[in-house]
Amino acid sequence: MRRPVLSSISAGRAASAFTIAILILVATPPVHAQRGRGGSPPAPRAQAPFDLTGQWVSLITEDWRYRQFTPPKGDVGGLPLSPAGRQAANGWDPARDEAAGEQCRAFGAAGVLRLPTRVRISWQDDRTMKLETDAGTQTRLFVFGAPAAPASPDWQGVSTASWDAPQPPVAALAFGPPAATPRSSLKVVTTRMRPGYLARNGVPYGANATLTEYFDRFDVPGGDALLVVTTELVDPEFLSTPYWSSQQFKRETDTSRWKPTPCTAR
Amino acid sequence: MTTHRFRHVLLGGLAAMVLTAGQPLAHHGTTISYDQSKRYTVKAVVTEFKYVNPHTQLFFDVTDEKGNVTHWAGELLPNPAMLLRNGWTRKRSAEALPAGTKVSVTAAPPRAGGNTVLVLKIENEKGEDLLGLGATPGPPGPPPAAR
Amino acid sequence: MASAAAAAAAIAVTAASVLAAFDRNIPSYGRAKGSADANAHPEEHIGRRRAQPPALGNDTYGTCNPMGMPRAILYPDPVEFIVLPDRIYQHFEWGYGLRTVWMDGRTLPAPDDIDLPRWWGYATGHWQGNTLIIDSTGYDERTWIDYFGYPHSDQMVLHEEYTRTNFDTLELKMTVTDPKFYAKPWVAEVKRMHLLPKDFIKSSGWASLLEDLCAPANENEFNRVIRDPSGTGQPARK
Repeated sequence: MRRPVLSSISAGRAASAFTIAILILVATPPVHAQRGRGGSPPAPRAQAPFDLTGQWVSLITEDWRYRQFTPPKGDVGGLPLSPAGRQAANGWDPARDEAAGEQCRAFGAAGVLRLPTRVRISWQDDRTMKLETDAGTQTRLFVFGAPAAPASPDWQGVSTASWDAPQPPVAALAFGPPAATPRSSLKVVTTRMRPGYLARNGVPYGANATLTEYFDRFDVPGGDALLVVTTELVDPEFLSTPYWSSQQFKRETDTSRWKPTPCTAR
Repeated sequence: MTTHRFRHVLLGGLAAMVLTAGQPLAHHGTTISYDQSKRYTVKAVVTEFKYVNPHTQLFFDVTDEKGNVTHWAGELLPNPAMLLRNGWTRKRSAEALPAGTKVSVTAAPPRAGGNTVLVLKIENEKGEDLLGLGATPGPPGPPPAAR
Repeated sequence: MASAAAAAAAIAVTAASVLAAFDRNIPSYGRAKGSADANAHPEEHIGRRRAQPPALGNDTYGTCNPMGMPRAILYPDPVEFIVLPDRIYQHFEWGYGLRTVWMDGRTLPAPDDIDLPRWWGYATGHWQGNTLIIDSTGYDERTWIDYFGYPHSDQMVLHEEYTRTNFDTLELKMTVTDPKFYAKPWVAEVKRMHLLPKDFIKSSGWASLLEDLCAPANENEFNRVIRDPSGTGQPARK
């Protein structure tokens, strides 16, 4: 997208600058494509369009009875399960998970943010954002660019992060693109997760699932901030269609209420 | 004699559907004359309603607690073409807003001051949204510039 | 030495007149001139941040003059394409304006060969595969490129490409080339338009474009009673 910019003109320039001087409106490339002279592009941390760091606490309203407490086995509500998914959900056995040391099944990347939890977000380095939960004491790392593949899948999988800006709407009235730049989100795509539960009562997702999340921050009047995580889970084995959900968190300035607890299978 | 074959293809601007303003696009750039952040809602009586181009116009009187009457002129964002698209024909609009009708007007004052406002919403005594303007009401209050 | 000074003077005069053309236009669209909102967006070109009430503006369309192109097609109201053997008409609902595109193979005059500029310009078109290509020039300098008051000179050549990407979507790509005012060709954002069913627009049960033309009789009365009082704060002239 280009937009015209007035350039200043000095009448005292030499004749060789004539062509530049008389032409006032010069198309320039979009701001985020500009680079320093001979330098490398700015780091993801420097490019962050908004601040996600800090402590956030779950606001559980929608789907409260599926998220705040463990629902009975087989009670899957409107989840788009395939026949294999339904069968697995009906076969949930928390005792078996405990015996196998797999209490963290519901605390993997595709399930942990659905649980009542506090979340701490920080920058581990200029291209890695860290998200910690106190429920299950889990750590997720969002790497900008290509993350290193781990030796074997773990509960949190491998997450690739980017600053995602949607295409702006077509401008009315204007020859050029719209004046307003649409908001960016933090986009995180997670794969290679160890099979886990997207709901506490054993509703499964498998090793081939792909989790796509958009993290947005909204500042509300009065000084509060909300974090909204909009999620799409695609699982060719256990879900018949993509599963979309959103999770809201409120900013917490009093960080003393952070209480790490271990995973539980029940 | 030649016969002309006509092919008509009617196209509409898609951009209208993705406008982020959330309001009907103002012709003539009129909205810049008004300060919509200072909108207010006031009880009024219709004196005249004009279903005309380029903008429909509502003239109304406001009476304060002391019994003083002030006269107001207001333009509405939609022109008759837009009202028609929403089902508000001339007849239906005229029947809803004859002189003497008691209404609740939500308006934005002019930045330059005066008694000419941008009418954002008109509700009748039953609370029905007339002309489909649909704007959010403002805080209750007397119009800021009473003359 | 003398010729360099003369060249410098020539630069100064031409540059000043170009800037003057931009500054002269007072649009009523965009962020309000001098407002906190306008100042909070320095990343946006000043053309989008200098809106004034129409009572204080000088948009020639505000006094019912034709919009010309490309402005007419930027307004999100319907446009009807009427295809005849030797020409295509674009009939715009907003302003009820008619623009003629000649398809009979005639040559588009060079900008300097235009005797009489036209509000709606001079346009020729031809088909290239599935794309309708229109080139036009000779636009009256009083028309604006868009609603934000970007000017053009008598040298402007507008290039349009219309492609129907599916049954009911038309994509429009435009380029303005105006070497007097713009350093490079200005490529527009791609515009998309949607096909409307024939009976989409109805007035009194009559399906057609609405006659949304700017009539001085209506405009003058509106300006007297509403536009000028609200823009200036003064009571309406009698």
